[in-house]
Amino acid sequence: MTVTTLAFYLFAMSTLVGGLFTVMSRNPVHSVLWLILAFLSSAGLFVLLGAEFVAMLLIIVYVGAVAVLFLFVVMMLDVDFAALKAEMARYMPLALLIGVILLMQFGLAYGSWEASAAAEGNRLAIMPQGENTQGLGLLIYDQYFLLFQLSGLILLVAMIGAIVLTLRHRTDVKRQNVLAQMWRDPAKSMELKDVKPGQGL
Amino acid sequence: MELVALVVAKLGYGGVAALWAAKVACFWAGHRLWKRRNSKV
Repeated sequence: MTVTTLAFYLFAMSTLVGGLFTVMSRNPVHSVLWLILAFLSSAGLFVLLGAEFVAMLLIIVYVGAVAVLFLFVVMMLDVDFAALKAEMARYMPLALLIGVILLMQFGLAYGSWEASAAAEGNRLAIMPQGENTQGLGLLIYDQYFLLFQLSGLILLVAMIGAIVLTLRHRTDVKRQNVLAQMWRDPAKSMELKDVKPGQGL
Repeated sequence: MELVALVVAKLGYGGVAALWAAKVACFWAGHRLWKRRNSKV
Protein backbone atom coordinates (compact mmCIF):
# COMPACT_ATOMS: atom_id res chain seq x y z
CA MET A 1 0.00 0.00 0.00
CA THR A 2 1.52 3.29 -1.08
CA VAL A 3 1.44 6.48 0.96
CA THR A 4 -1.16 7.98 -1.41
CA THR A 5 -3.51 5.05 -0.96
CA LEU A 6 -3.09 5.15 2.80
CA ALA A 7 -3.75 8.92 2.80
CA PHE A 8 -6.82 8.39 0.63
CA TYR A 9 -8.31 5.82 2.99
CA LEU A 10 -7.52 7.97 6.04
CA PHE A 11 -9.13 11.08 4.51
CA ALA A 12 -12.10 9.10 3.22
CA MET A 13 -12.69 7.52 6.63
CA SER A 14 -12.45 10.83 8.48
CA THR A 15 -14.79 12.47 5.95
CA LEU A 16 -17.38 9.74 6.50
CA VAL A 17 -16.97 9.81 10.28
CA GLY A 18 -17.19 13.63 10.26
CA GLY A 19 -20.35 13.56 8.17
CA LEU A 20 -21.94 10.87 10.31
CA PHE A 21 -21.27 12.64 13.59
CA THR A 22 -22.41 15.97 12.12
CA VAL A 23 -25.84 14.41 11.82
CA MET A 24 -25.72 12.28 14.96
CA SER A 25 -24.24 14.48 17.68
CA ARG A 26 -26.68 15.93 20.17
CA ASN A 27 -24.77 19.13 20.84
CA PRO A 28 -25.05 21.46 17.80
CA VAL A 29 -21.64 23.02 18.52
CA HIS A 30 -20.05 19.56 18.33
CA SER A 31 -22.00 19.05 15.11
CA VAL A 32 -20.35 22.10 13.54
CA LEU A 33 -16.91 20.94 14.72
CA TRP A 34 -17.48 17.54 13.07
CA LEU A 35 -18.58 19.37 9.93
CA ILE A 36 -15.26 21.24 9.95
CA LEU A 37 -13.46 17.88 10.18
CA ALA A 38 -15.45 16.64 7.18
CA PHE A 39 -14.53 19.79 5.20
CA LEU A 40 -10.84 19.45 6.06
CA SER A 41 -10.74 15.78 5.08
CA SER A 42 -12.46 16.49 1.76
CA ALA A 43 -9.83 19.20 1.18
CA GLY A 44 -7.24 16.47 1.72
CA LEU A 45 -9.01 14.29 -0.85
CA PHE A 46 -8.96 17.17 -3.35
CA VAL A 47 -5.22 17.58 -2.80
CA LEU A 48 -4.78 13.87 -3.55
CA LEU A 49 -6.72 14.37 -6.80
CA GLY A 50 -4.33 17.16 -7.81
CA ALA A 51 -6.96 19.89 -7.42
CA GLU A 52 -5.07 22.04 -4.93
CA PHE A 53 -7.02 25.20 -5.79
CA VAL A 54 -10.37 23.62 -4.86
CA ALA A 55 -8.78 22.25 -1.69
CA MET A 56 -7.59 25.71 -0.63
CA LEU A 57 -10.99 27.14 -1.55
CA LEU A 58 -12.67 24.56 0.66
CA ILE A 59 -10.42 25.41 3.60
CA ILE A 60 -10.54 29.19 3.20
CA VAL A 61 -14.19 29.63 2.24
CA TYR A 62 -15.96 26.73 3.94
CA VAL A 63 -13.89 26.22 7.07
CA GLY A 64 -12.78 29.83 7.41
CA ALA A 65 -16.06 31.56 6.69
CA VAL A 66 -19.10 29.32 6.43
CA ALA A 67 -18.35 26.95 9.31
CA VAL A 68 -17.33 29.80 11.60
CA LEU A 69 -20.55 31.59 10.68
CA PHE A 70 -22.49 28.41 11.53
CA LEU A 71 -20.67 28.27 14.85
CA PHE A 72 -21.61 31.88 15.64
CA VAL A 73 -25.24 31.29 14.66
CA VAL A 74 -25.48 28.11 16.71
CA MET A 75 -23.85 29.73 19.74
CA MET A 76 -25.63 33.10 19.60
CA LEU A 77 -29.15 32.21 18.54
CA ASP A 78 -31.01 30.22 21.12
CA VAL A 79 -32.42 27.61 18.77
CA ASP A 80 -34.44 24.84 20.36
CA PHE A 81 -32.84 21.85 18.69
CA ALA A 82 -34.92 19.28 20.54
CA ALA A 83 -38.11 20.76 19.07
CA LEU A 84 -36.49 20.93 15.64
CA LYS A 85 -35.53 17.27 15.86
CA ALA A 86 -39.04 16.27 16.89
CA GLU A 87 -40.34 18.18 13.86
CA MET A 88 -37.75 16.45 11.68
CA ALA A 89 -39.03 12.97 12.56
CA ARG A 90 -42.26 13.75 10.70
CA TYR A 91 -40.35 14.12 7.44
CA MET A 92 -38.44 10.87 7.90
CA PRO A 93 -40.37 8.86 5.24
CA LEU A 94 -39.75 11.57 2.63
CA ALA A 95 -36.07 11.74 3.57
CA LEU A 96 -35.78 7.95 3.29
CA LEU A 97 -37.46 8.04 -0.13
CA ILE A 98 -35.02 10.68 -1.38
CA GLY A 99 -32.13 8.67 0.05
CA VAL A 100 -33.26 5.52 -1.74
CA ILE A 101 -33.67 7.40 -5.04
CA LEU A 102 -30.19 8.89 -4.66
CA LEU A 103 -28.75 5.45 -3.93
CA MET A 104 -30.47 4.03 -7.02
CA GLN A 105 -29.02 6.84 -9.13
CA PHE A 106 -25.54 6.12 -7.80
CA GLY A 107 -26.08 2.45 -8.61
CA LEU A 108 -27.09 3.44 -12.15
CA ALA A 109 -24.07 5.71 -12.57
CA TYR A 110 -21.49 3.24 -11.30
CA GLY A 111 -23.19 -0.02 -12.24
CA SER A 112 -24.58 0.17 -15.74
CA TRP A 113 -23.03 3.26 -17.33
CA GLU A 114 -19.80 2.84 -19.21
CA ALA A 115 -17.45 5.71 -20.02
CA SER A 116 -16.29 5.86 -23.62
CA ALA A 117 -12.59 5.55 -24.31
CA ALA A 118 -12.45 9.14 -25.55
CA ALA A 119 -14.09 10.60 -22.44
CA GLU A 120 -10.87 11.26 -20.57
CA GLY A 121 -9.38 12.95 -23.64
CA ASN A 122 -12.48 15.13 -24.08
CA ARG A 123 -12.29 16.20 -20.46
CA LEU A 124 -8.61 17.09 -20.73
CA ALA A 125 -9.21 19.04 -23.95
CA ILE A 126 -11.23 21.76 -22.19
CA MET A 127 -8.51 22.25 -19.63
CA PRO A 128 -5.74 24.64 -20.64
CA GLN A 129 -2.23 23.36 -20.01
CA GLY A 130 -0.34 24.35 -16.89
CA GLU A 131 -1.24 24.68 -13.22
CA ASN A 132 -4.86 24.02 -12.40
CA THR A 133 -5.28 27.34 -10.58
CA GLN A 134 -4.07 29.08 -13.72
CA GLY A 135 -6.27 26.84 -15.87
CA LEU A 136 -9.34 27.64 -13.80
CA GLY A 137 -8.58 31.37 -14.05
CA LEU A 138 -8.20 31.13 -17.80
CA LEU A 139 -11.48 29.24 -18.16
CA ILE A 140 -13.46 31.59 -15.91
CA TYR A 141 -12.05 34.80 -17.35
CA ASP A 142 -12.00 33.63 -20.94
CA GLN A 143 -14.48 31.02 -22.02
CA TYR A 144 -17.13 31.47 -19.35
CA PHE A 145 -16.66 35.18 -18.71
CA LEU A 146 -20.26 36.25 -19.31
CA LEU A 147 -21.63 33.46 -17.11
CA PHE A 148 -19.16 34.44 -14.39
CA GLN A 149 -20.34 38.06 -14.51
CA LEU A 150 -23.99 36.98 -14.52
CA SER A 151 -23.47 34.80 -11.45
CA GLY A 152 -21.95 37.83 -9.76
CA LEU A 153 -25.10 39.76 -10.67
CA ILE A 154 -27.27 37.05 -9.11
CA LEU A 155 -25.24 37.29 -5.88
CA LEU A 156 -25.75 41.07 -5.94
CA VAL A 157 -29.52 40.59 -6.25
CA ALA A 158 -29.45 38.15 -3.31
CA MET A 159 -27.48 40.64 -1.21
CA ILE A 160 -29.81 43.53 -1.98
CA GLY A 161 -32.80 41.28 -1.27
CA ALA A 162 -31.41 40.36 2.16
CA ILE A 163 -30.81 44.04 2.96
CA VAL A 164 -34.27 45.07 1.79
CA LEU A 165 -35.89 42.37 3.92
CA THR A 166 -33.98 43.06 7.12
CA LEU A 167 -32.97 46.73 7.23
CA ARG A 168 -35.31 48.80 9.36
CA HIS A 169 -34.85 52.44 10.12
CA ARG A 170 -36.17 52.89 13.64
CA THR A 171 -37.29 56.36 14.59
CA ASP A 172 -37.77 55.63 18.30
CA VAL A 173 -34.10 55.28 19.14
CA LYS A 174 -31.66 58.05 19.95
CA ARG A 175 -28.86 58.28 17.41
CA GLN A 176 -25.54 60.00 17.51
CA ASN A 177 -25.27 63.09 15.33
CA VAL A 178 -21.56 63.51 14.77
CA LEU A 179 -21.81 66.80 12.87
CA ALA A 180 -23.96 68.37 15.56
CA GLN A 181 -21.41 67.31 18.14
CA MET A 182 -18.56 68.73 16.12
CA TRP A 183 -20.14 72.13 15.45
CA ARG A 184 -21.49 72.62 18.96
CA ASP A 185 -20.72 76.02 20.39
CA PRO A 186 -19.36 75.88 23.97
CA ALA A 187 -20.39 79.48 24.57
CA LYS A 188 -24.05 78.61 24.01
CA SER A 189 -24.07 75.27 25.77
CA MET A 190 -23.12 76.57 29.20
CA GLU A 191 -24.68 79.27 31.34
CA LEU A 192 -23.44 80.67 34.63
CA LYS A 193 -26.12 81.26 37.21
CA ASP A 194 -25.71 83.66 40.04
CA VAL A 195 -26.85 81.73 43.08
CA LYS A 196 -27.84 83.72 46.13
CA PRO A 197 -26.47 82.29 49.37
CA GLY A 198 -28.96 80.33 51.41
CA GLN A 199 -31.63 80.19 48.66
CA GLY A 200 -30.57 77.52 46.27
CA LEU A 201 -31.71 77.41 42.72
CA MET B 1 -6.22 48.51 -15.87
CA GLU B 2 -5.46 45.12 -17.40
CA LEU B 3 -8.60 43.68 -15.88
CA VAL B 4 -10.70 46.55 -17.24
CA ALA B 5 -9.18 46.03 -20.68
CA LEU B 6 -9.96 42.32 -20.43
CA VAL B 7 -13.58 42.96 -19.45
CA VAL B 8 -14.00 45.40 -22.35
CA ALA B 9 -12.35 42.97 -24.76
CA LYS B 10 -14.66 40.17 -23.64
CA LEU B 11 -17.98 41.99 -23.41
CA GLY B 12 -17.49 45.10 -25.54
CA TYR B 13 -18.48 48.58 -24.37
CA GLY B 14 -22.15 47.76 -24.89
CA GLY B 15 -21.88 44.68 -22.70
CA VAL B 16 -20.09 46.59 -19.93
CA ALA B 17 -22.71 49.34 -20.11
CA ALA B 18 -25.52 46.76 -19.96
CA LEU B 19 -23.92 45.01 -16.98
CA TRP B 20 -23.54 48.24 -15.04
CA ALA B 21 -27.04 49.34 -16.01
CA ALA B 22 -28.31 46.05 -14.60
CA LYS B 23 -26.38 46.61 -11.36
CA VAL B 24 -27.67 50.16 -10.98
CA ALA B 25 -31.20 48.93 -11.72
CA CYS B 26 -30.81 46.33 -8.95
CA PHE B 27 -29.79 49.00 -6.46
CA TRP B 28 -32.58 51.32 -7.58
CA ALA B 29 -35.24 48.62 -7.34
CA GLY B 30 -33.92 47.49 -3.96
CA HIS B 31 -33.98 51.02 -2.57
CA ARG B 32 -37.48 51.62 -3.91
CA LEU B 33 -38.74 48.38 -2.41
CA TRP B 34 -37.07 49.14 0.90
CA LYS B 35 -38.60 52.62 1.03
CA ARG B 36 -42.07 51.24 0.33
CA ARG B 37 -41.79 48.49 2.94
CA ASN B 38 -40.39 50.89 5.49
CA SER B 39 -43.05 53.56 5.04
CA LYS B 40 -45.92 51.07 5.49
CA VAL B 41 -44.79 49.63 8.81
